Amino acid sequence: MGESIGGVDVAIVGGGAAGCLAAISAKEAQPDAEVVIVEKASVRRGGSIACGMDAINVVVIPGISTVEDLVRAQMSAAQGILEPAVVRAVGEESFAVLKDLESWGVEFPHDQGGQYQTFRQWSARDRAAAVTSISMAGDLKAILDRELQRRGVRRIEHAPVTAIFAMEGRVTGLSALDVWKGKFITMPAKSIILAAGSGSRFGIPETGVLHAVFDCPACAGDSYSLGFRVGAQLINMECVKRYICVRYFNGPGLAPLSHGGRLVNAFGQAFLERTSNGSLELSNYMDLFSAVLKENQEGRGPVYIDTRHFSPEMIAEMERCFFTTERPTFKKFFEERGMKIGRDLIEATLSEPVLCGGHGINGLKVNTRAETNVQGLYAAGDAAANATSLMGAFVLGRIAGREAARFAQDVGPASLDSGQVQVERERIFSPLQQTEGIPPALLECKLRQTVSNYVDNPKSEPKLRTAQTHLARLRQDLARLKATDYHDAMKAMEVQAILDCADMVVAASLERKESRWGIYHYRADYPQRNDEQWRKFVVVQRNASGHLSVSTQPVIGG
Amino acid sequence: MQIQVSAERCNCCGICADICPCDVFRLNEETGLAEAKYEIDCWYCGACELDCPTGAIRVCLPYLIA
Repeated sequence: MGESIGGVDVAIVGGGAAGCLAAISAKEAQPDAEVVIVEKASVRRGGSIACGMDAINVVVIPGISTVEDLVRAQMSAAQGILEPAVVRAVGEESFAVLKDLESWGVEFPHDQGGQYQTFRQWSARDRAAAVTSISMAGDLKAILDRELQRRGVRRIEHAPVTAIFAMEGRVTGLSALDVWKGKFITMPAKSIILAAGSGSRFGIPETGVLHAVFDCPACAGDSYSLGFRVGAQLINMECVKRYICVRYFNGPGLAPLSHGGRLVNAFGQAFLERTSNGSLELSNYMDLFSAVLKENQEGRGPVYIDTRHFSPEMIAEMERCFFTTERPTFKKFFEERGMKIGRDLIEATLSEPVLCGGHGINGLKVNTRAETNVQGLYAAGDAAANATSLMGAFVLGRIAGREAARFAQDVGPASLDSGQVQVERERIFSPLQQTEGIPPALLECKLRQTVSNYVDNPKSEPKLRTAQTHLARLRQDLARLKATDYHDAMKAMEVQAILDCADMVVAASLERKESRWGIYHYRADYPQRNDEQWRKFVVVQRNASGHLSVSTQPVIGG
Repeated sequence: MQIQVSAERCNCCGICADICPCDVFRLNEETGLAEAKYEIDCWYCGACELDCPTGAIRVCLPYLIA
């Protein structure tokens, strides 16, 4: 069963923050353009964080911070391996986006003096005032959903995109699987915006629960895999994140720390220096993760988040942030374990390795127009390498929408190559035709165990080569995947995306023969940072013969 | 069960199935009631519990996490 959807000018893969802003801006740039969001779940709750966020990080607010502050702060946090022009482009439009959001009904509370309520995430030595966060209230996704409807943006939901097609270096369209109807959808499109999030299912969580991950597990590396398979360049894939989390829940642990909480070890000792105003004194906040790892490795763990000195107001603020906006079930976790913020020490640990574009710096390489190297293909949000979290997603989405709509206006109609479509259809349906084989969840388990065993720090040539051997075996096993229904067929697709990500991470990690970004890329065989040789991007790309190729590119203007 | 749906309260509207980021819910073909068909894929984000108009859904944490 299949369906072809024609006449599409701008197809947007993913209806999260970036995808929604892209659709709105495409419609504003070209009101007559046919703009379609193709979303794995629903626009209403789709995205990295289902229930929204309580704040936006890295905002440039006139009178408080400047674009140059933001560029300096982000370049410093990325230790020089980021495109400064892209960060600048995000900074330049961020206040306009904030004003748009406000006009649509997103609330940004003001303080008693009538100024926006802001706070500093970190005030470390080399991070500037631009690392300003702004409090946010209101049901963000419900508001964006309404704005999309107002503008006549079409949406196709419960339909994960399976492939993006291109001919002679230009996109021609995409295919998706309608998981509810079991329908294979083909959609020729003049331009495509990849905004399907990060790779939250990568290493294996210590609880063994495959979906116990930090970001939404539906973001399974689809963006990176879809972009890679159509020939787009990805950067910084060797920079693999581990978050500080409330242990077992895998929920955010940074928020109490940025509001004055302390990290203590098993002996009650605070092991991070603080400035006179109580904020953390770190040359880079990645040092925090190394410090947690060190306490554990040297027998002073487990480590805890200490909030016992919080005022009743701060406790209420933390409970609001944790229990209502980001993950409402966090409240149940605290209740089940008999823990209370402000009264008890909260055990913390590092998450399993994850790929996150928003907080991290890995993803599709884009320029200031959100263009990738494939003509007509744009990327925004966690999909793009930009490290400016939710605000970066909003702004790059806005830029991508505008640019994609303009591009679509100037090119002729798109058409798909029937041979390419047929090969893709067979790939998606083959797990459903197996009479016996490996369930996708089982293959995923083995794959993510491999990532945790060999791709996590400390990295080394022998470990990474071993990873390659195991990953090659797992790739052969893909042919033995057996899906019981269409939902399961989607899981099979996701396993392939995770495997593509693992291949990219291993190749990039082997290439960068130095250590950088604290525990995000620590090579035991090259333990020092080497700016002279390695202040450049490691780029992974699928070449014309279908193989993964690795190269390096200079950081322009870094 | 990690996700409990009250048969008394469920009005078969399908909102839970529509909004779940992980495609956990389906409406039962015979009864029309919502069921957590793919419970193992739950991320316990709580969106279903929040959005259910009749308060029919309760999400519990998996034993390995709670």
